[in-house]
Amino acid sequence: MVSQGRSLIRTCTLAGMAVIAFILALVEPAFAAKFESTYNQILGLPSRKVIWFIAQMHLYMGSFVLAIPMFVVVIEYVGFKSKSKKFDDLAYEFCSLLSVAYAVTAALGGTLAFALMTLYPTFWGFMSSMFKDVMWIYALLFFGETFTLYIYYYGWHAFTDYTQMIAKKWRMVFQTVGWVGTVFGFLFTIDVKAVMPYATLEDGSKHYWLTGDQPSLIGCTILLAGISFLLINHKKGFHIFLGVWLNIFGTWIMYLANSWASFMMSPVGVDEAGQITISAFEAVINPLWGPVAIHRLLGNLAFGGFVGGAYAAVKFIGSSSAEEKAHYDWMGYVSNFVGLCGLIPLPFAGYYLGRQVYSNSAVMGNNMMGGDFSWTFIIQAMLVGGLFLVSTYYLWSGMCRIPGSERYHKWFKFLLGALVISFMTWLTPHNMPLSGEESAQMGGGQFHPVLKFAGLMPAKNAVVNMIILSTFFSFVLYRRGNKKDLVPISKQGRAPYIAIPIAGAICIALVGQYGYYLYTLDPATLDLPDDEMRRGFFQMAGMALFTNNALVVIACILALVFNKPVAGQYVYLFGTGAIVTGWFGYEGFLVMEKASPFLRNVAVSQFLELISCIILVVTIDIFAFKDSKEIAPIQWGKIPERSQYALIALTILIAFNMGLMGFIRSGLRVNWHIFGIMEDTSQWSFTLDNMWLTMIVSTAVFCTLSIIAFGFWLSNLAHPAEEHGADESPEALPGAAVEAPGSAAS
Amino acid sequence: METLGLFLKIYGSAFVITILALRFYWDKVNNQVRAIGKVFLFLVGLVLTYMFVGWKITMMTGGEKGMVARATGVSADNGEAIYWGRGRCTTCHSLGTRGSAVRCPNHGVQLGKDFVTDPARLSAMGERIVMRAEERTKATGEQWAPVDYLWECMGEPGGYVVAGFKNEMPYVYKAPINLNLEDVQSVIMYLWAQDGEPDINVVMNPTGPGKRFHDLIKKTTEEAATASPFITYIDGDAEAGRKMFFDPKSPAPCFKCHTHGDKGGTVGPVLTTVGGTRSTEFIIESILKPSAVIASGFEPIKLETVDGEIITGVDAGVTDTEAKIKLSTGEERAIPIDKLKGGKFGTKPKVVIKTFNKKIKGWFLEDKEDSVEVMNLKGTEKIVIPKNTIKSTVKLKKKNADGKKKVEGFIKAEDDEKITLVKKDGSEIAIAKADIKKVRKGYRKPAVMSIMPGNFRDLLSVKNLHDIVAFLKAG
Repeated sequence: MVSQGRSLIRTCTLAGMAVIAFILALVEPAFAAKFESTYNQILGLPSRKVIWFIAQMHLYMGSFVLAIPMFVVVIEYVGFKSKSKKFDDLAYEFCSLLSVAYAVTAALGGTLAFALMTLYPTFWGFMSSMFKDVMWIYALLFFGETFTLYIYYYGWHAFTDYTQMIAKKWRMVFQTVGWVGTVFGFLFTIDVKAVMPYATLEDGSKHYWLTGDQPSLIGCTILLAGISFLLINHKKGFHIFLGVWLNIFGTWIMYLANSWASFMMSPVGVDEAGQITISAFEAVINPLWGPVAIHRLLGNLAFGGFVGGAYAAVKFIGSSSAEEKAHYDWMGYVSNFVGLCGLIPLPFAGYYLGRQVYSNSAVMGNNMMGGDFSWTFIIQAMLVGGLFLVSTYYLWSGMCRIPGSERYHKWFKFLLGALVISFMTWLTPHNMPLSGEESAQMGGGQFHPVLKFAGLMPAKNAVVNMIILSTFFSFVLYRRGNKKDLVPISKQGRAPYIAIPIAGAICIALVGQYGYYLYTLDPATLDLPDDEMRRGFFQMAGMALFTNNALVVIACILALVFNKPVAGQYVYLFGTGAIVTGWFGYEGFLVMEKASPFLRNVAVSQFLELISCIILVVTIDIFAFKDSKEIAPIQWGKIPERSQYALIALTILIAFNMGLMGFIRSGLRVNWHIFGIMEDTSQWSFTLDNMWLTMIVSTAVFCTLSIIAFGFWLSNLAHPAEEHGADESPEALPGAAVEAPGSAAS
Repeated sequence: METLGLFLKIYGSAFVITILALRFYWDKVNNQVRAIGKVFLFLVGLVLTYMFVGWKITMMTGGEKGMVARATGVSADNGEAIYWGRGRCTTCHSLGTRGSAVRCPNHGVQLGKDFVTDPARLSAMGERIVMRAEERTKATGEQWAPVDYLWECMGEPGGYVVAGFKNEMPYVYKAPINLNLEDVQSVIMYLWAQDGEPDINVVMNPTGPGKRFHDLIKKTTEEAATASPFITYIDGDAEAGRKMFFDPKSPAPCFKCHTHGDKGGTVGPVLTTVGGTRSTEFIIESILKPSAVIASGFEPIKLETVDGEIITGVDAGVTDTEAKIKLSTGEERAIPIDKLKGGKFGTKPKVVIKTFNKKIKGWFLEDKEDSVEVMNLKGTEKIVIPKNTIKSTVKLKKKNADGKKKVEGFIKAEDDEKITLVKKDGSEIAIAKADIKKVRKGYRKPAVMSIMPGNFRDLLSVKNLHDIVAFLKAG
């Protein structure tokens, strides 16, 4: 307890440092920004690289610290619902990694703030005057995060049973608050105008403050807060409540810090004379705030999951007993699953962010793939392709421990072919750096006569969908590896007849509404001439989406009426694959030539179809293999050691990618601290090359992973190796046998 | 490249050391340590691979992308440089087969049977300009020449959007691209040159509808060039500022030294009209950095008496018999000269100057071109110190050719890149600033420090400062 107390004090001190840093930033007069920019150096080092390195380290640690609670609370909840001690222990094991990581993150945050204050005082002066009110809230949120984290972690064993802990009248209060919060949060999330904040304009009309994705981003945290109150019944419920609030604080810390970075890219409320015309809160909800937040949330989840996987992999490699290997194999699998949950939608979030960057500033947007960063995106393509290839490889390796999965090995060669072709297509640049001689050999142009098509956006969008579908299909095969003697859907009661049609209806609504929108879209909306050809493009896309709807119906009928759920899955999966890659891939080229603004609608269509495919196929999968017999149990631990290097590679690759994308996002501002408003007049005002990118990012990755490894080591000191049983069967949590009123219902 | 080498050495060494450590200690450590060693090797291997990719791509595609220096003058050649560089035109436009962007219209002629088949994009630039000019003539009723259309594209890009494309071209003469008028004229020359002989006189002095856009660009870029880099925004409450100004208990009771209206002290300048005569930036700087600019007639003075008393205030006049000083309390004191350390020279700043032979302390008199004049501390002897005898010390990062890390001499010249020293033996040496670790100068002209407290930065909150400035600006 003494060491825990010291740890708490130490961490609070570090968190306090971060808070003090921001408070000092407020003391630093904002007016410095109005003079000629001042730039300082420390130890003669180039300030920009110093800031870059510290910021990158802070972001890595921050994403790890924010991601871990996300899945810890989910795993804890799964353990709570299934009364499984195994999941509960796993959640605690992950949680124990947080303590040191949080302290280091706070220390790095303080260092970053001081570095900005001292090295870029003018810029920081302006930022702190712009966001002065929000920075105070940010500092206060740190207190919330700190205390919640430590009560959550240190109170894990104190709040582990199902003993009633509050009086009935208080439970009523919490339930009421919970339901009000849940309903309000839900309405907020789906942007019901009745609950949205607004201002009344002079003409009497309403101006709603939040637009686009902003209500959903804020609403989901309110929704979570509401749900968390419904959990307060017994001690375990209260503990999960704390976990949810830990996530809420963490998410808002990230939201606010994101707003400063996104403000630098898409500033609002500063007129051409440099005068601030809006409040700090309005500056937070700048145009790129939402897209950056979504991208980071998913990125954090993927990074956190993969880091957890790497931890398990190292432990697996170093394990000497079969029991330990079994435990860490399982832990690595769960972590990888979490990482994939973040990774699969990440390319879409990236596309959305890129699209919003472009919408906000065509100059900035064009500088991405078509400008200074075109080759950086080639490196990014290598990394993202690598991520999907390696994670798929891990799934395939994992099937070695599943008796009966040999039946599906035949698919691997096709999947590998699809992945490699897609990967190669994604890697192909549109125009190549050619010598005059090489150019002449290709007919005088800059493009290869055939390969140039692979370099265009429609091809990229098509193959990324193929890559994701291939990985998803591998996961589907993994799940059914050892299953046999399927129980017909018709013998499973009402549940599949409710769940599958609901999933189907969601898919039809998701895809169908967009299909209808495209089918009836007026070309003038996209500044395009209203002619038959353009309308034809829109209708063609609409038809593709309606076709997808038809496939949903077929899949549901096959599953529910003909008891052929697997056939239904294949029809929908392969149908979707054909549409998103073939149909939309082809249409993308046509559209690009004749109506390029419509290309983004094509990409959205592909995304919606893919998400629908995942929803319906997973739902059918749950019932298709429910209660089926196992050829043999999964033999945890009997997986080749090389597969563990795949888990480690995933962590390193995603960290490389995060650093690279951060470089691009930040570098898009080129010679501007705040795009179009405050110019960077320092000697470092230029875009660094890709060699520097890889050197700085590699070093940041190296240092971050070393720190995280150190944290793992400390965690092991605090929690000496425990015996891990290979048995998968759930063990009851303490007190679980005692029926707690409303324990599961809430 | 040098840095890359350093990085490679570090990671390479880590790689080799780990292999050796694993090789020699393999049997002496447990499985977990071995696992960490193997994973560490794997990490370093991936890091090296990543750096190799970055290096290879940089070698293939070029290095850092700085802001290109502005070419001066108007010409098609300059226009080409801007079109393919700073103007960022090619991120959206292609020119014939050059470039790959398809987001916006191609500015050239697409040769051969290419992917692009739209006739509007196949025709030559010149033909299309003529066509556009005719369309604009019909639409507006004015007579448009082709060059007028190009001016419109630059000045008001949304004025005419080519069918099939989106209205998304930015104002290239505003932030963030910030082309100036000459840049825009050069680009017009370049585009015109794609299919014809551009007439520079027409580009420089448009007379048709294009003149409107020319004038708009000219006005906007000139305003931007002369604008303050950043204008202070003050959202203070003038009334709160007034209260603070006159409140003796406030963190900034300015009235003790300054008069505003008919009330206040006389130690500092009258501030009644400062809001009208000085910029906001100047007022803020005067509060936060009082010594940056000192108002004429309010030069500070610091006196030290033979009894050891130190008195600071504003110089109110020095005669042969007494030195008058206005204190920050508003009170004026007259100190007899014979009570001052250094006598009548005691009103001067005290300096310490290091020469090659000795250290000289005295009262600063004058800084001449070749020498510095000081009065000795007793006020009895004037010392003229030739500047070429003043010793400065330059510490180097590495040993020089003579094997020394420290060079002493008189600083003869200094610029951004180097310092030229004259050593005691008369020989000159130029030292690059990049090689210098530290410079200790033997003489610095005494700085004049305001008597106004320098800690308002700490005493005032942002709001306090806003309020006071708002009060002063309100007049």
